[in-house]
Amino acid sequence: MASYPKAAPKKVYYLVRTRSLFSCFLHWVFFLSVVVLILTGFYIASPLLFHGHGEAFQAYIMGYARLSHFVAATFLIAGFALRLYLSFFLCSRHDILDILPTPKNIAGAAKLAFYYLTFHGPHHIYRYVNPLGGIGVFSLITFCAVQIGTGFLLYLPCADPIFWGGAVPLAQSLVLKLGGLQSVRLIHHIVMFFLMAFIVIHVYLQIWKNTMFEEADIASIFSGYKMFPEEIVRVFDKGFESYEVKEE
Amino acid sequence: MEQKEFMEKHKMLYSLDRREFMLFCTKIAAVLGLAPSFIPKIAEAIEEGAKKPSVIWLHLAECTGDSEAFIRSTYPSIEELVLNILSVDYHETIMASAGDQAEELLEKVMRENKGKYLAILEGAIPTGTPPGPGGKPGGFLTIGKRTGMELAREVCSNAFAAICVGTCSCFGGVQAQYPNPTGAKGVEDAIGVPTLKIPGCPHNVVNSVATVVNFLLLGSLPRTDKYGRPLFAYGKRIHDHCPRRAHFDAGQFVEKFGDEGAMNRYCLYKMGCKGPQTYHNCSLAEYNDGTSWPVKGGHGCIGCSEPNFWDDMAPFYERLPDVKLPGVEATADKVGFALVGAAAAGAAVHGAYTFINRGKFRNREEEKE
Repeated sequence: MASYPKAAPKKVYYLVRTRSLFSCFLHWVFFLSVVVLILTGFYIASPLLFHGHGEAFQAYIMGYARLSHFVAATFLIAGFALRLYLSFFLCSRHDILDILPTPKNIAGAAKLAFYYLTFHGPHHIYRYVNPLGGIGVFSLITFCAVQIGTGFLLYLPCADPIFWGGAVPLAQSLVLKLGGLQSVRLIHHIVMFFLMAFIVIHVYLQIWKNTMFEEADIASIFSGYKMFPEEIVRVFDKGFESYEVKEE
Repeated sequence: MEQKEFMEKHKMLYSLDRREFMLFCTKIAAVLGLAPSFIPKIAEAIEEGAKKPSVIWLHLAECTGDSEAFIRSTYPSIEELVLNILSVDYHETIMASAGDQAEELLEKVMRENKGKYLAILEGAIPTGTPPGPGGKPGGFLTIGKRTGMELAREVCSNAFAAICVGTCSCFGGVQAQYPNPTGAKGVEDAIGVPTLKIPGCPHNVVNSVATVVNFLLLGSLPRTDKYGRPLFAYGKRIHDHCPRRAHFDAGQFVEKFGDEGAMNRYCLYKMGCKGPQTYHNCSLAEYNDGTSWPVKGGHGCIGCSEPNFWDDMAPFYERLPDVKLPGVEATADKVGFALVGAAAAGAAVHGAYTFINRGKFRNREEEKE
């Protein structure tokens, strides 16, 4: 993107890097682990589909479901830890600022939501995560944090007390504050539906944006690149992270 | 100790022969999780029961179920327990005296053993004020012209230790269930005196006897968890030691009572068993001298040793409690799928709206160019 053609006869598009390949990889780690967590979680909550045949020692279905649940949860937690580390220390820009519900982000998200619903009003085209998506990601992180926390509270009573040491009584005092394991189980179950609702809205909006807007490219979650027209890239090159579209 | 001497002594003290007595000591050592080397020490501690700690057993708002459980003790038998091991000086159900005589006895025992006796409490304490003239706080429970609150406060504050038996005295129990018209609370919440809790509906007498033996052996009460329940009995969940646990891991469940799974003694998880949420040693100690317990009998656990179990563990035949929203009470699954459905419906409506208006939208984009 060093030089632009002087007079463009046709609209010219440029590939712009919007996320690192490693963060794309982490996105799909989250995707896989959340899918496994939801499926095995449904089985653990209410074992409907599969039943063990034969003697108890010949089947280990619930055991494998729980094992998969814990392994997927480990991947989710490790992924989150890496992603947080990246956004604070390694990325060239602190992309955590894109998702925090700051007044600026909330105003931007409101404008964008209004535009998506009515196609009226001024709005911005963003290079990185747009504020509406940022708030979505923030709520997703909140849901996941609740799931990880309550998941630990449910897991620790059956965990190895020597390995986990003081965490086991600590978990019990937290469970006491939350009103018992049954309440924790209910929270874990309900927040899972919020996560599912997020996934529905997230997937819908990505596909919808991909069909409606030229700058929204669903392929960017695989490649890390998006295509933007020249006039927008010029603005980005000046150091801005968004391009303002004014209402005529 | 010479065996003959030992036998003589125990013959005198107890109507047990040596074999029965040692069986009891072994059992208590097992419940407390002590090594076999402790068995003679337990025998000695009980033998020194000549000290016989004085016990005041208070009946508060309850059904006497825990007294019923207590008098079903086999090793030691109830008469050993009440007369020889302990000195149960005040127990409204089994004492001979009544009326003023009983109240005088209570005063006397408290005065003479101040700071040394054990207070065992059974039943919740109503803290609400009854309607009508003359209603005073805690007046829903009045014994000998005193409210349960006053009585429990006086007995507990002068005791060496207060032990709550049964879920009602520990956490409020059925009286404290929503909407709790009498304002019933567990003893510790109602009067602010820390108590050792042996919950259960009823409590297992093995656990109360083991707590007393711990007191006789060491002069102190056993270590407890965050709820104040002794760890030897409430340190693990029922699920962790359940005899049907293998069927849980195998994915073999009772689908309805009386089906083939029930006959094969499969896991009762889908019948709403609350074993995974309940800390208790039922699966190890069992009730009525190791005869049986609910899961052995083919019924799921209802979580009776957990706080607020009437509210939190209900419905007893479902995995999860219902969700109470303003004006709506539904299962968590219904609420959850409604939420996801609403998100999908919103997406569908938005998609349809933008699809119908795509002409306008495209025109505007083109005008811009």
